[in-house]
Amino acid sequence: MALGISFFYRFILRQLWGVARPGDRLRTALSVLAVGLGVGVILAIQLANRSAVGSFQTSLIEVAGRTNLSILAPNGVDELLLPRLTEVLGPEVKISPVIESIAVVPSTREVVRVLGIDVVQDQPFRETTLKGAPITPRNFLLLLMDPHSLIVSESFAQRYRLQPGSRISLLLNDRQEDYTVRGVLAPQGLGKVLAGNLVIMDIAAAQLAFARLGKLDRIDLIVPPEQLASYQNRLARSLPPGLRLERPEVRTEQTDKMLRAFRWNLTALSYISLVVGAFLIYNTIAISVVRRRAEIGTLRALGATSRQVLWLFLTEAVLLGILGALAGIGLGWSLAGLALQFVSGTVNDLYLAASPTPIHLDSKLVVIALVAGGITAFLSALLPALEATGVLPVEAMQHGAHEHRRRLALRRYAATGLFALGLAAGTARLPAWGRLPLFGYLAAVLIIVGFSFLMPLLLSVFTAILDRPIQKLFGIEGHLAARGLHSAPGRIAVLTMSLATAVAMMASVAIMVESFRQTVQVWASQTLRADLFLKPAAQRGSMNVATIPSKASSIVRAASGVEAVDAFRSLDITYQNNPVVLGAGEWDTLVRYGNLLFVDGRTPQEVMTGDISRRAIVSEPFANHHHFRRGQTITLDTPSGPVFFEVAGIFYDYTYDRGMIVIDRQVYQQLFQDDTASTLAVYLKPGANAEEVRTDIGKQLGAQGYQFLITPNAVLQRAVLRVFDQTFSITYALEVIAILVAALGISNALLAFVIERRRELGILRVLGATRNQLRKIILTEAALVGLLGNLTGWLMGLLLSLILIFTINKQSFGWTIQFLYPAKFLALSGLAIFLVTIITGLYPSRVAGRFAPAEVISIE
Amino acid sequence: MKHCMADLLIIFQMANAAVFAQSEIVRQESIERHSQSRFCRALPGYRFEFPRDHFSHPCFRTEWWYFTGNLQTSSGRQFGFELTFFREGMDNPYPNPSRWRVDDLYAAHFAISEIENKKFFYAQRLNRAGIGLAGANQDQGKIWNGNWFAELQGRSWRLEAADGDHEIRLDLRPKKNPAIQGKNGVSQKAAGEGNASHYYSLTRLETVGRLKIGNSSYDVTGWSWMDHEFATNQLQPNQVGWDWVSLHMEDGTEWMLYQFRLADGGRDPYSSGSFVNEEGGTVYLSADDFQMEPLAKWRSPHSGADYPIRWRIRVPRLGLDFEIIAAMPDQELLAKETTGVIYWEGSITVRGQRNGNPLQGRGYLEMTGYAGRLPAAMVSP
Repeated sequence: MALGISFFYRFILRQLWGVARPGDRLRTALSVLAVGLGVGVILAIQLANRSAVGSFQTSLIEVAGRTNLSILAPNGVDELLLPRLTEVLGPEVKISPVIESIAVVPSTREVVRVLGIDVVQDQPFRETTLKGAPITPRNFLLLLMDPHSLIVSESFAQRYRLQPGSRISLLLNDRQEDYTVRGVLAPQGLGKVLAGNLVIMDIAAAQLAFARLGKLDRIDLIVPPEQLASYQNRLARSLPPGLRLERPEVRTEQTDKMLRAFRWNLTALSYISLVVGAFLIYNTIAISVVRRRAEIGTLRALGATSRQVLWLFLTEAVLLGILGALAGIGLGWSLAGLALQFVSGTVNDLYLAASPTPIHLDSKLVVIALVAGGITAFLSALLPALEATGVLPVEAMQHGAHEHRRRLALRRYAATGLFALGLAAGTARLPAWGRLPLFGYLAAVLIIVGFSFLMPLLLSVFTAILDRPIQKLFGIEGHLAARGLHSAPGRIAVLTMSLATAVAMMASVAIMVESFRQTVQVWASQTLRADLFLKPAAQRGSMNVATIPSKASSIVRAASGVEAVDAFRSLDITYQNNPVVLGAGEWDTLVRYGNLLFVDGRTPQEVMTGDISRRAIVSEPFANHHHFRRGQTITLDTPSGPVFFEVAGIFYDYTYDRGMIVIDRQVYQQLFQDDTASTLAVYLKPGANAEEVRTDIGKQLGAQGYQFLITPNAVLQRAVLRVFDQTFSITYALEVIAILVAALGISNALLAFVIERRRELGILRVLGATRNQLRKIILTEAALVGLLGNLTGWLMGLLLSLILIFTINKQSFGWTIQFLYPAKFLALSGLAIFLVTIITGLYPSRVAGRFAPAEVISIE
Repeated sequence: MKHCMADLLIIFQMANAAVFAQSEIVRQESIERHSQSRFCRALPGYRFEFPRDHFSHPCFRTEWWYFTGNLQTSSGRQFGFELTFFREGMDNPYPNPSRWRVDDLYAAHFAISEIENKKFFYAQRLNRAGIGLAGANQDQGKIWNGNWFAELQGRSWRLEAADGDHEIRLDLRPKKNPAIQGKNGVSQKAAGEGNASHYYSLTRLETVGRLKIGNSSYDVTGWSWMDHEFATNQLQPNQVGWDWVSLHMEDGTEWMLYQFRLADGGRDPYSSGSFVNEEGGTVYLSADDFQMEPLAKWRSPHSGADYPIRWRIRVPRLGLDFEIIAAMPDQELLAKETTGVIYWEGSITVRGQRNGNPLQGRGYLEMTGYAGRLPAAMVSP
């Protein structure tokens, strides 16, 4: 073993650290950095994903406490069910009423969860230990009696400088109210969830605050755990219609389902950089193998087995991978904060109000990062390392044989590549696997694999074609550069491929995002027709917790200059155990003034008039996820029992990827006994001044104590795109990193290439070539690689974007994106990348220029 | 008088962190201001009317229903039980139409003494009225807290309570009319108009039913006592505790006596009691009519308090000379979480003579104020 280590040191470590030759140290550092970036990005995204939503999910568990069964309904449970439950269930079952909603702190726009519980009776359910001294009887009585009382968490109290007796303003639904703090929770149990953004009210106060007199959001139960199933059956039979039984774990599953598509795609995207890094490792090891054929031959001649040789190179690769991963852990840790901002912003805008928790790196993630780095390195080094084992002792003296063999294999490689591409075309058409576009990802990988195998041939053809024109343009140096690349297609192909992959990722995502953006913009401009949009002040993102009372809607309807109002109610419901949104809008108003785009090209007039009492329209994501077609029947659980609706049409929608079912508002009101709204779309009389009406409505509502956000059409259209851009900003950031990794790779590979050809270049010098000429050769080579990488990258990118748009996006989110090629953006970014490749050639070309001819010759 | 009620000085149940109720503040603030104006005071001339007066009197701040009794099986196994319901008016000045609004808080205590093996069990609960969670109204004909209740069926009472593996289901049939305590419809507790309560007792309730402990179920019979008292102000700051005793004698008579202990160690002149003869006739006993003399003490391992568990009781005017002894020493309830009070309430045996004739019986003894001060809110300003 001692011998093995010393052997390893001499043969591998010394090389890596550049004791042997100049430039190696830099190459090693670049490889490590590339892997580091790849691992770092993955880690950062994982950390951000966990912090953004992890807090929300742990909070679901903490808020449920020891509850093991809940009764709930989308629109609340009638509280009179409670005494009936007490009769049905024995005294062994504990029952607790719950109101759960959100409030917004006006000064910071921070969202806090509000939990309304019976503070006298809730003790068996949740841990609500107070900090410091127990609550004074006075504060306890006031908490019970004064509906403007609450308990806050310790960190919330610190942030807003609160203590028992202090006051704080909160926006609830459409009102701002002042609350008095009656106690501060200790940082445990409920006190530590949601980074402290949780306040507790008594159930009576919460009902008043959220205008839910007579209603509960859910009834929590603790039933004897061993009889959970039998209670579930018993309750399922005896509960009134429209109510749902749910175990608390299911709530986390629902969030998982809701966010799954978003998280998966982000994670998949984060792996791009590592894929690029893998090419670089491959490159480093391949170069190492090629360059040391003579040494390998000598070792073999001295009795080293082929297995030992394999072990040497794989260890080298894994060492690089793990070093990279270590760097990546540091990098990921520092990038995570930035990533978290993006991820959390998107989650809040599109899915749910969840304030992020501080980033927490645990040993599990560290291990995953190390393993990812090591495995990536191992796999990408496997091929060149296996080649090294094929070196026969006798080959030690024969230079160039390797490249010769590789050239002979070009055809076989190309055939394999074409086969992979054909396979990609096939898998891209396969359906989703449990809502996840696994075959889409596979197709994307196959495209990269296919092009990797095609690349040597492409390079060969490319340099052959460009040989002449380049010679004309740049003279003999151009010719030498082209020939240089042409003579070693194997090595150069790999580095071209790493660039091409990065470019392809960039291009494909750019095409997808731009197409998507255009699609959304067109959709928004065609369907958001109202002049003003109103939502309660406590409404944030696409959350629909806050409601508008009918009294406020009436004020708006009666305002002068208002032609019509579409009061839209949206509710989170579950359809076959999947979270979806139920919407209720005023169909006649929408038909007359608004618009929807139906997939089959029909107009709202055709779809949404006539007898609409049992008609529903569903969004495209809903139809895709649940395989619905026009004319089929959909069953909704309502408080009036299950009701059948005919799917009258499928409309384009880009707001909820979980899907939406929309029925007429009147039908909804009858079935759900709910006259509130979530948003109001206001259509003005012709000639009315939007700004005047807006001010007027704001004043009238304000006079009644209502607080609304009133958004004019143009502002809303812009806001839609702003949310869109924010959502994809992290995507751009990931692309830039991938390009950066690729650029590092090019510099790295060119440098290796230069060092490798020192004999050739030295001879050129001896034959009279100047330093500048050598530099020019290397720069031309860099340019050629850049050009081919770009061209191939764009082609691959185009193919990948088709997969992204028509397979991955469609299967993950369920919506159709109109394909659009952002030519200008791609041309500009292509040029930029091309320039970057030339710049990366600068250092290797300087190294080439520094070779002293005499020294080079003497080594040989 | 009875007991330990109090302003249900609530403890925030959050986290079992029982709070010691030092609620001087409570009264100085809004509650007190309102209570003086909103709540009724117990004044002389009150005319009891049944069954109306068996139920809630929301006009008074504090109200309780005390059921205690001594039971035995046919084989002679003896038990004591206590089932008590408290209502404390909150005088909530804040408007809120929610059904969960708190105008009263309801507490309840449930205890069983197993005399043979000296095991004492107790449980307590606190509730708001909410939607049928607790109450004491005539429409429903019952006083209840969760699934513990006392239901009036004709003239009889049905008691049910269960907690964990302890359960009672008892029928209580009154053998005598309600005994109105005090004078002219009020039981004066201190000097000053209104520092009093309305107080009556059902002194002899023939009890039949079933008692369950763990897997064992016992058919029991015996005698129970019911006290119902409602008031707004009663105690004074210098009244640091009281000793209350009820006795079922074998000659068919009952005795009830209570004395207030004063901060200076003396005995309050507002201590009083009553004697009920075989026919149900009541004799009022003033502080001067009786003496209670502690003979032996027991130190509680739970609270460290020293409770006199043997007393000599004399009522010279009626020729009475008794000694009472706790049936078992440890019958202490640490009820800080619901009423803010630690007290001793338990089964006793009584032996002695009346007018020279030997006589014995069983009863219940309650002692408060031995484990630190009583909650200040129990005391009138």
